[in-house]
Amino acid sequence: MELVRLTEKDLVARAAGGDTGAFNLLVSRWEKRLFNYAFRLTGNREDALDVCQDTFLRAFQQLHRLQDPARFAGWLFTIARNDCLAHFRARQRRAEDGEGPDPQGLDALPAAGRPARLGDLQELEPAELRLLVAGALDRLSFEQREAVVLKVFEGLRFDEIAAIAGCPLSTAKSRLYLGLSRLKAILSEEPGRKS
Amino acid sequence: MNCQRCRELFPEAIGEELDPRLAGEFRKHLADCADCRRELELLGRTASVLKTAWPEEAVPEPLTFGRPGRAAVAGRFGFGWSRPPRLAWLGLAAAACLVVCLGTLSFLNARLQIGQGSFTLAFGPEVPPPVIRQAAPTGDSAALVEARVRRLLDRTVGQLEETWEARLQQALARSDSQWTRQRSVDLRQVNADLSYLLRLQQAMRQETARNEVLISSVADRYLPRPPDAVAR
Repeated sequence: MELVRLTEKDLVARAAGGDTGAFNLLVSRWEKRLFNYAFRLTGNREDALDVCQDTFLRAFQQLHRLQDPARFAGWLFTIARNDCLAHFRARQRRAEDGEGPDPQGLDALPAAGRPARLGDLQELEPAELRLLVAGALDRLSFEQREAVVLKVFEGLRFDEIAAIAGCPLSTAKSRLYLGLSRLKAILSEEPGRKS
Repeated sequence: MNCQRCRELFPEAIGEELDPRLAGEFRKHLADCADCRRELELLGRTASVLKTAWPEEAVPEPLTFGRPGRAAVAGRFGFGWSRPPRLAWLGLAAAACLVVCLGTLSFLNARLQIGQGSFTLAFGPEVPPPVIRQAAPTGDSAALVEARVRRLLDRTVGQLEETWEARLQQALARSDSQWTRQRSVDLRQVNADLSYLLRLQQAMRQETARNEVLISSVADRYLPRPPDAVAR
């Protein structure tokens, strides 16, 4: 039977038995989504690529330990999440050591003269809006950022988010609420003032 | 429903997972409370701005196994990516078979005798060769024996030299073929690394071009223009 016609569950079972063709198909199905998840979580393309590569390597090596093949996607995101957390902490340490972004550099530019109200953000150039949003996401805690990325960008259910983040359902909801509230405040704040 | 309870349901409302049993009461409170309505609208707009601002991107390079690129380079540094873990079981099975064979041979008292160009396998206890007693040499016969021993020694030394020469030649041929094989493996790896670096360079050029456009658009918007440009 052709691999492309197999369900994800069958592909996972085959890949767990060492079938690299089946695993490749799983990679090609999930690589884009996983890359974008890692990119939005780390904020860096190269880090996101590293995370994806490590995640798929680890998944291939440990697939036989996955009890329920139907949980493959959540399991993959959990591996990637832990890797992203390591990158996040490393970046925090670098920032504490004084290697963070230059506060007078490009990072500060969008805040200098941009519209103050959330509704006016559509006036910005796409690249500028992207910088602004990336900067705002950088000011969230990892857990809040993760909840926002998984809900807003990936469209996962709260029970899936809770399983990936390893937290209770209510915590996943409150992280999203706090994250969005903070983003709203950051994106609406007066020009040049950072909360 | 009060404002606190209503706001507790905001995440579900934004995520479109609101319990239908609570939806009616939730909507009724929103209709009555301008503050909650405004807050929910702003949160929803924030989520929508995020999605618009950061659309999904294609993966810069394929991550599937077996193609030259990052995975291949990573495999070279011992991630175990290039070899399926099942092969380890084959190795273990082969080692177990070898141990069983050696054990059986040892149990049967087997001996391997390697001669010139042939070998024999014998079983059972070793029988010592019969001792042939020779009469003590005297006079001319002693000189004859010495000459025979000398010829025998010369022949043995000659055979040993030939054997060592052959072994040396074999070892040289073997190392030459190993070196050739390794060189071709190295060349393939260098080729794969080079193509990866070229792709990386291309990606960096594209990124630099994107950054330049971004910097110029940001500079146009925020940096003050020179007075002569404004005058013109």
